[in-house]
Amino acid sequence: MKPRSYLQLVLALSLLLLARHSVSAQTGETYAIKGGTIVTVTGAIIPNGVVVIRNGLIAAVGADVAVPADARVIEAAGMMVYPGLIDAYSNYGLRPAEQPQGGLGGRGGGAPANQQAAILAALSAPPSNVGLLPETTVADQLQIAAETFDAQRSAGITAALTAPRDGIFRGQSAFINLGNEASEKLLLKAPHSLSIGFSRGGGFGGGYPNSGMGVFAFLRQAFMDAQHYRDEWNWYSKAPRGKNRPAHNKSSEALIPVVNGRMPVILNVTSERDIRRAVGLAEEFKLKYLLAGATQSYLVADYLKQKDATVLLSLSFPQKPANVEDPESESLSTLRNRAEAPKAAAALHKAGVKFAFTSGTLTRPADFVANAARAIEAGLPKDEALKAMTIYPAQIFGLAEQLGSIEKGKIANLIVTSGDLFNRDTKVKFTFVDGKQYVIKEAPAPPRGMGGPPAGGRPGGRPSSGPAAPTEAPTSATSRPAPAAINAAGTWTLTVNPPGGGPVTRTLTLKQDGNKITGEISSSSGPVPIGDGKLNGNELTFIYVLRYNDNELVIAARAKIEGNSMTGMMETNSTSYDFSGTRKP
Amino acid sequence: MKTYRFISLAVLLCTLSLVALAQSNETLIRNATIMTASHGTITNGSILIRDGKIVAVDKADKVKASSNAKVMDATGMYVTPGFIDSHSHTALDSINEGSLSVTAMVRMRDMVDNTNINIYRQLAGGMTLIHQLHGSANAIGGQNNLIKLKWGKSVEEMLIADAPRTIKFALGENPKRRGNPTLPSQSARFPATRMGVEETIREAFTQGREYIKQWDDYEAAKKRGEDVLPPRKDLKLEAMADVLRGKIDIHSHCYRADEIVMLARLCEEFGIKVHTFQHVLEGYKVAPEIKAHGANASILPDWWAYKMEAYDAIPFNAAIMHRRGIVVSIHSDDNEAARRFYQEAGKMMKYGDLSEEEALRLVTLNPAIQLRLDKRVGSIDVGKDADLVIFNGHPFSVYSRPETTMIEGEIYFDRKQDLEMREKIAKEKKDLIEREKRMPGQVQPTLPQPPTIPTEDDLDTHLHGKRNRN
Amino acid sequence: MKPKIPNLLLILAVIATFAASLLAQSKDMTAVYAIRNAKIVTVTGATIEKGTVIIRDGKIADVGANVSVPSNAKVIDATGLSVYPGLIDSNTVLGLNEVASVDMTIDTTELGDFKPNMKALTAVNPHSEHIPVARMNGVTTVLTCPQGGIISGQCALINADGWTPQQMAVKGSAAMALNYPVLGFGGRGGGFFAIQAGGVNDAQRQQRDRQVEALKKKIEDAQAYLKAKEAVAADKSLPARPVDLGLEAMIPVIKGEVPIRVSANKANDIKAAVELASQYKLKIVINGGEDAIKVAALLKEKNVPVILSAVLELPDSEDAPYDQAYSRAAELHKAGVKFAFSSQGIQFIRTLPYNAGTAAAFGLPKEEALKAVTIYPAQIFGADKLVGSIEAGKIANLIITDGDPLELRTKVKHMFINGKQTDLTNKHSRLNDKFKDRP
Repeated sequence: MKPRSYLQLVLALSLLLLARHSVSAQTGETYAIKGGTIVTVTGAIIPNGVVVIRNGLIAAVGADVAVPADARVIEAAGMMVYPGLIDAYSNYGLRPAEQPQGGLGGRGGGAPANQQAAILAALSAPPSNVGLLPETTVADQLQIAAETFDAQRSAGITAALTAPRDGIFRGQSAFINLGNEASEKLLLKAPHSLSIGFSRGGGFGGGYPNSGMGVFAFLRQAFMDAQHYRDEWNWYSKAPRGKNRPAHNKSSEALIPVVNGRMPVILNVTSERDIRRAVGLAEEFKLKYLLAGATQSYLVADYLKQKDATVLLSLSFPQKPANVEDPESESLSTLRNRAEAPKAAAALHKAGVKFAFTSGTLTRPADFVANAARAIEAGLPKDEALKAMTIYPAQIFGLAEQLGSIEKGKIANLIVTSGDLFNRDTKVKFTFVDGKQYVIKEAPAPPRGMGGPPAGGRPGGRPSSGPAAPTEAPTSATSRPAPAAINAAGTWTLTVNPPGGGPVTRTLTLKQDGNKITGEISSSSGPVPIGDGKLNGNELTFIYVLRYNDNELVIAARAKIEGNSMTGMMETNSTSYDFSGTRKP
Repeated sequence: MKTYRFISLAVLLCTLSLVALAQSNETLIRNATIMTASHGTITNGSILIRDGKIVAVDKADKVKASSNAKVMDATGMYVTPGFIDSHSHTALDSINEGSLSVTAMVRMRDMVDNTNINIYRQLAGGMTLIHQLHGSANAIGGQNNLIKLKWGKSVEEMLIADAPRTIKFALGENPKRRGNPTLPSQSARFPATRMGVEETIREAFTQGREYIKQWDDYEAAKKRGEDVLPPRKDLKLEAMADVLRGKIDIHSHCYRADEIVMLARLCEEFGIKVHTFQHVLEGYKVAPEIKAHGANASILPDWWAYKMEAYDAIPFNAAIMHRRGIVVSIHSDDNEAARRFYQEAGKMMKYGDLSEEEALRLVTLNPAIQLRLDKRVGSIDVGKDADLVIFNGHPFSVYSRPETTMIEGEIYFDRKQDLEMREKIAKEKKDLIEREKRMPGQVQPTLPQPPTIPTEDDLDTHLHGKRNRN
Repeated sequence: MKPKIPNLLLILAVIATFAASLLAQSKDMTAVYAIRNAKIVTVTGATIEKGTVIIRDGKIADVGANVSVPSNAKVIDATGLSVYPGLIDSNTVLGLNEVASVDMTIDTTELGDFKPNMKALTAVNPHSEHIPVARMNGVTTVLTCPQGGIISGQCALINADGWTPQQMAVKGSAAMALNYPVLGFGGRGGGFFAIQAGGVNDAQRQQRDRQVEALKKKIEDAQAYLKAKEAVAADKSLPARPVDLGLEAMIPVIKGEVPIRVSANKANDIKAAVELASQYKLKIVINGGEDAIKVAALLKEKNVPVILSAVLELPDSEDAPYDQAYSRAAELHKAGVKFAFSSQGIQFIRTLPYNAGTAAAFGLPKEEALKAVTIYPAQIFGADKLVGSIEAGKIANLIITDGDPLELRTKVKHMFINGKQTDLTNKHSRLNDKFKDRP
């Protein structure tokens, strides 16, 4: 396919998607949100106003707007009305590449034993192309079910840019409304940009590139190849007679809009030097770019202003790792980074750098607003914080005519809260996406990789600014109950597959007290007690120790329980292997 | 017309001198024992520095500074040129692109970490300039980088303008390691023998030569006015072509005598030279051949027996090659050894009886020559960068230590300041820890970090409990 | 046909040569040497500016300014030279490791967590190329240690010369090598997988605790074993316990005759190790001791010496002072803790003196630096009656140098080990001679 025709197709597809979208919006109900304080963002605050929603759009907004007769009325007296929040960079609706580690999740670290297995697996895996193909489109990978965005909507987030988090070429991102319809109806812009990362992460085998400088060389070559491909086809198309036809190349073709400066790249960066290196590369190829993550941008605010850069700033602040034995062992630079990261937004604002907020690696959507509040505490004006999750991202993504403020004619993405958005005790009461009202749900632990915390993530308690409890939902629609700890007690027969030996049968007897698990496991030298047994959702973890001669071997087990069966992994400090089990009736 | 020109020149000159005066960028190091590395030792000497350059070095009574010069009294102290490490992996976020046998396209400049604490630690040992090399996991590694250790400055400020381009080659056990994988489940990568290493390099040279021809043909056709398309630019072959054109210096990791001779002959086959043999532990066995080829030698001073190909390493290597007329430097390849080059050089007065100046040159002027920077650094001479180290005693005495290190006249390490800084660091750290205790904050679940995949070297260390050299 | 007489002559000649060599060998052991006109740095006594050392029967027979020279003595005129006791490296794997990356040349690490009956001396290769190389800058004696597991085995204090391991031994079992269980400790290896970012997890902590418990149990088992054995010895009517080689090897440790040499670096681990030793009344030496200064009061109070990890070593953390390892010895000296230096390996035994010297560049008095590579290690390993200073009656381990042996430029001109003048050539010097004037 020739580059030009490719572009035409992209354009046509985009138009088609938009057309479909407008059709879908016409089916919405009519609402009037009445009596609340309306924070329009782009205009003045309207105390005691009315917002009318019709056909998925904001039909009217103001102090003196009449409530249409056919409208369902939402009484919002004493409440606040905001535009729906935008997460400027997420992986919502995407199933991330399966991490080989067991996923202790939370606080950025699995157990070392798990990591060891993951590392060995990564080192031994055959080279793969995953993360190396710029033609991958995110829109094609969306997997959206009715409840996929419950947690986001309950936290007030109604739209987001989304792209995978792994790889170098992570895919062409999509901007979506966080409704519960088919993904085709939720897309606002796709592709919007090409997401680029600078490390391959785990699980890619030993293929090129596998180093930082390798990634840069790989990217340079890819951009140069795209330029060459463009020129080659131009050269051929101009006068094909007597010339050999160039070969087609999907990857180079996908990069043509990028090297032509039409499609922006999103450069995923964290540290100061990540930022400078990425900007350097973008300038080398005259790319249009956005920086995503950039938690250390507080160090380079003036530099970013000078470059006229735009930052999609992560609100996933670095956290103290669990189980630091000796606080002194952490370096000053680490401590400083934790203290300074919440100040980044204020620093960017002060320097005049355009930015929008993203949830970064946060997995609990409620933390998005909670951490914006921390950025405010760290010096960012409150109205700027609000803009950084509404109108600024809308402007950055070229969607300011459709989203980001409460104005007549814009898409009816709205939230109603019990008070000021950034107050700790404020709860989201009502959420509208494309004019459709959604039930506020307590965020359970959604399945891992679907936008929620990974299974086994630290529960950490409900955040003070978290979503409302299900009993406060405005409609009687069924809300999912908080997960009760499942029952793990009983006698289990396990089939264990240690390396270098056939399957071994073990008997595991478990007693349960809340989430605490005790019991014993059979071994060749008799039953052995298990220790550190825990149940986290449906994930069971415990350790036990085998002694032989003068040695001991610590084995850590981790399994998922589904009804009367479990599957999982056992790990020692040198190897890991799988096992499965069934509960004796 | 002429008059007008003259006036404008005069105005310009006046302006320039005014600027210079306003900056008063003069520093005088007074009454020191100056080990110049180029022209002997000056007792009771002074060095005058202006705008980062050495403008005078002589007996103290012959050096006159302006009245507003900053004066550093160095009575009883010794001054040497700043040390230069011709083989370092310091301050790099990544060292090996080991996936392929030829990775000439990667550039270490992309991975400079200007915040790495080893920069400061090495400054404290008098190091001022380092050659940051790609690792030795493959026969042809990446393009290397040069920085001055201007701690606290940006990467751009650390880079050396007009620095020569260099590339890493590697021979022997390291590049063939991936041909004999550490993990049984890993796939093997060519080559697995020294024979394969030679052919890998010959292949890369051959491809580079064809690439040059491809471009030459294109240019010729274009000149003839034909409607031709420029060939695809290939970053790997661009680098190989520049190696063949002599625009990129080869710095090759090597150990055994046979492989040293192999690479010299292979390069001669393609009409080029090995610029500098690195490590070159058995260089002493083939010193006449190295000299005849015209290569330099950058060596590990006294490491040995850490692997099979290092079993014949001897600390007399420097002296033997030096006496054969080879330009020899000592390098660290190690964050620790890089902190005490004065000791590494001093030892060479014992191992092979080098003179004091010969020993000093191993870590100053000679690496500067090997890095084509001897016009700017490497000795205490008028016109050179004021990269200097001030010692509290003779630098080759084990009981001495550097007190001050400066680069281009600016002080980047000073022991007195360092001692004061320690308290500040301790206090800030304590305050931050206390602050976190007061405000522990909510635990927020995050996506798990992908595991850090160990490098070849990590794996070796893990599986064998040993460290390798790159 | 071969003539008969020459045959006989040949046989006679062979016999004569053999006898001569036997004679030479025995002569060597009994030779008398007089080192004259030397500056004698005795370490334990005053320095003699110009004096004589007499060596006889492998021992220092006499030392002083006015010592008469026996008529049968081989005289070494040391005018302008200095005599020092041979240097002692307090932690090495000399003789156990030939080429670090070639597993088959390594005998440091036996399988298992508890192996107190493993003896380093057994595996010392007296003909390792490392031994003459180790000597080249003045080291005559080293502690060579097994590695790995929790109890690694017995360290030997050996001289760097001898035809058999037994001839090399100063003290065959000088210390019991023990690795204090630390977080992330994993038997062989450890390294990369030990602790990654994200902190320590409960499993690791529990593993550590279990290993400590196992260690304590091992000590208690040995105590019980010894008690039973003594009881049986006193009362023959009691049933004899079967021999347990591991516990048997622990008896000298339980009795306090042989110290445990515990590798520990973190303050908590050092503290726990010292407490463990107190609890079981064991003699203890700390090896490594990077955080020793943080527990200096305890170490001083309990009189626990420290074998310092290499001075020529990087700081242990980003924020640590650049000279942390350089100035560690000076700080311990000020705090009154006894210590000795070590090269902690094999290829840098010949840089042991520069470890000591660098510590002196960063605040340690020079005399203390010298003591920490001579008399202090001798004391720590209970060999101060044998080595570590120039005193009459001690083993004649001496070096004759052209200057301060801790200085970089100093050359060792002569060396005596066990009173025998030791060959100073080595692999390095042989290769140097072979190639330096190569055509």
